[in-house]
Amino acid sequence: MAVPTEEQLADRARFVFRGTVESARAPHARDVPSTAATVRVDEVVQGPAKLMMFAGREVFVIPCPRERFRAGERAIFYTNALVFGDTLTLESVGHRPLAAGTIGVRSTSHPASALRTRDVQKRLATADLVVVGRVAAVRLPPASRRAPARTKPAPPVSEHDPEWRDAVIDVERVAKGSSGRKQVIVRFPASHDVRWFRAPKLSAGDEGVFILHRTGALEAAPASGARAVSAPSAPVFTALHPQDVQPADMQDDIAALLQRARSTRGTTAPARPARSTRSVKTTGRKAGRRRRSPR
Amino acid sequence: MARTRVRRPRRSRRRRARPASANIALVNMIPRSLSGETEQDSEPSIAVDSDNPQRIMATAFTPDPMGTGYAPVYASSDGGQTWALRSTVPSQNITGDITIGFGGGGRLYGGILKVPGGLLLNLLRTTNPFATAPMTVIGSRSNVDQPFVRAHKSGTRDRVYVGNNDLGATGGRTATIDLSLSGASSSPRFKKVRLERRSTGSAGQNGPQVRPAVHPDGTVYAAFYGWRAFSSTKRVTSDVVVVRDDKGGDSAKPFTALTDPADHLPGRLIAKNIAFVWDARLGNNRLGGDLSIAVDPTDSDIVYVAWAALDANVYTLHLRRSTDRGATWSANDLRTKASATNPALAVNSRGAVAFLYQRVTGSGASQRWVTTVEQSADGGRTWQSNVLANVPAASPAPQFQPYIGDYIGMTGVGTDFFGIFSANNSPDLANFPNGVVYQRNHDFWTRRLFDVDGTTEVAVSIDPFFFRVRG
Repeated sequence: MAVPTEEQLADRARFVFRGTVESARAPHARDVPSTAATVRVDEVVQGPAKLMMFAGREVFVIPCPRERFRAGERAIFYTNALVFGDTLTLESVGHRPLAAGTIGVRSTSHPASALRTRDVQKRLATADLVVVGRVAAVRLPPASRRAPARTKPAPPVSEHDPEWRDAVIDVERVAKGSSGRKQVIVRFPASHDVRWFRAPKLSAGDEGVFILHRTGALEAAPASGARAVSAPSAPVFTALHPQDVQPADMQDDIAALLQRARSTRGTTAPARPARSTRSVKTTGRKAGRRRRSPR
Repeated sequence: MARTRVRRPRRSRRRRARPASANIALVNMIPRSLSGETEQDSEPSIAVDSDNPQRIMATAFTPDPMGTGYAPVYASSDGGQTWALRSTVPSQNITGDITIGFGGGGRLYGGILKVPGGLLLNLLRTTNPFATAPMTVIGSRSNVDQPFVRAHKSGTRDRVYVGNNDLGATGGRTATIDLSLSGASSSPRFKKVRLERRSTGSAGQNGPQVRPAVHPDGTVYAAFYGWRAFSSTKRVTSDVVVVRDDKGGDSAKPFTALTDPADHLPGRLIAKNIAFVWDARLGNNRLGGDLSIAVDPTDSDIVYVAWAALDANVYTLHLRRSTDRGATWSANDLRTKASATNPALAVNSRGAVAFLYQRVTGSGASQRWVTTVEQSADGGRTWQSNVLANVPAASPAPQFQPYIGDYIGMTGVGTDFFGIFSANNSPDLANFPNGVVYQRNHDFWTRRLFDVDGTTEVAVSIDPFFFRVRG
């Protein structure tokens, strides 16, 4: 079986760190399997913001099949969390020993940012269309607009009503896919219910990079609130994942990620520059926040 | 190379108030390894393994700290003294709704609204909730709201009841129970039972709260809101309906054992033409009706129901009792609580009833959420009241709705009551008159929270709290 590359390991692991095996065994503790090793996190390479504070702390790592840890061993550990208890128990997907004298990992980005980039990469991979643009208007989906004002919500009523809205995006550049139009419509939930609050909320004037997926049955036939939505004039997409709307100043980074994906797939055709349909505007609000610091 | 010094967290000065009542234990459930978390961990539910009450599982709207394709559950194997989080629920990062219940043999059942998916009901099961393997999907249906799970062991089989609002039902009669009398089998079959027998009028549906209560002798009650009208101002007019089945839901005409004396239709109307406003607010938390029901494990004739309705435009909880299997009900409220929500009822093995609720006091920025558990050992004539938490209601700012939950949870096992609620987590002992234990890093003297490093201050947020009241 081929040994996974570091990139493949990092892709399967949410928490990557440089660490030192303190003990090949974990102390007897609740929720900690006897197979776990005690590892000190020396430096976090990739991980969610919540785990940044584990630098300098001990965690328990359960080796994957046929993986062995030696006391004193220094390595890059590729892991996922299993149990958050009094301490953190991780499950290894692999580790790469560090040569003696290696000081550490020179990461070019913040660990949380590295993980976020990886998440954006995954969204880009499945996206039908990626555009740079500006929200020209936000309106109710067409059939909802035809409903008389001040009527009760159409049944059924649910606390999870997504409250669909259509954002009309003026497309400045297409980074992936083809819309064939200068405008696309992004259907998004305006609701702040737990089911929908993480989905990007768009307002007129927002500028950004929109990572779009075609609407499914879910968005085409809302569970409640709006009536069945008739086909609008421009193509309709969704941006439901928190990473689906990126700040406009991320467009070069996004282009680089798309380029890298093409290269990885072995595309022989040279990557085309993003197609421009409009001049880039400098006014308007930035969609999303550029998260330079981890959440 | 120089070794990185492992910094021990500054040991929190774990000042602990002398419990006002030695019978009450209260625990902030966020584990120490998640000391930095500031999520809105609202709408909790709890399940206690009746075979071994040391084993307790709980849920809340806590997202997976790793941001994976699974949502977490809380687990305690020491009777609720300590808790750990593990992501075993097959739903992307978080659920849209979740409740759980223990069957026999340590089996745990769950009902969730799965993410992604609009109103996608998934019924779940695991034979070992303390393992880290994902729960198994044993049922699925779309267009369903607020699954509410109750399970009960029945020999080697489990009886599983999932109250839900099936918005795909025809004729606007959406109050539904999905039930299985063989939940432990390899492929359990679920039967869908419609509960509403009357017209839902201009509402065209029932309310989302459909709550079952299960007795070991085969008696099963359920309470639901029989919506009758929904106005343009979102004002709901409704009846409160109780149904019963005497064969575990396996009767020829399930859940028709109780009829109303006025129209002789199945379903006793214990409150008629009550009203409330859909999606109104109480102390930052949305409102849309509240229901809880509990049956006395010592006598299935005795059943309690709590519901919410507007009284003189004030959202108010009412508690009543029946001693004749739901046929007649106490003429007056056993308890009436204004400006309160999230009722939860349970009855212990001595027949004592406990009533848990969250009430807003004060006004404006000085509003407080006061979580109280009241107990009565004499059928509701006298009550002993204990405030579990009295916390600021205006902070932190809401991240989403529900702020503290559309429901909370409590159950009776043996003589004890086990419950869960969500509240502001300021580590201020004055907020917890019966004492509290925090797992996450904190300092009760300075009333501050700290991250895993023990020094970085963490903002206040909404946390789940477990409690146990010894009977």
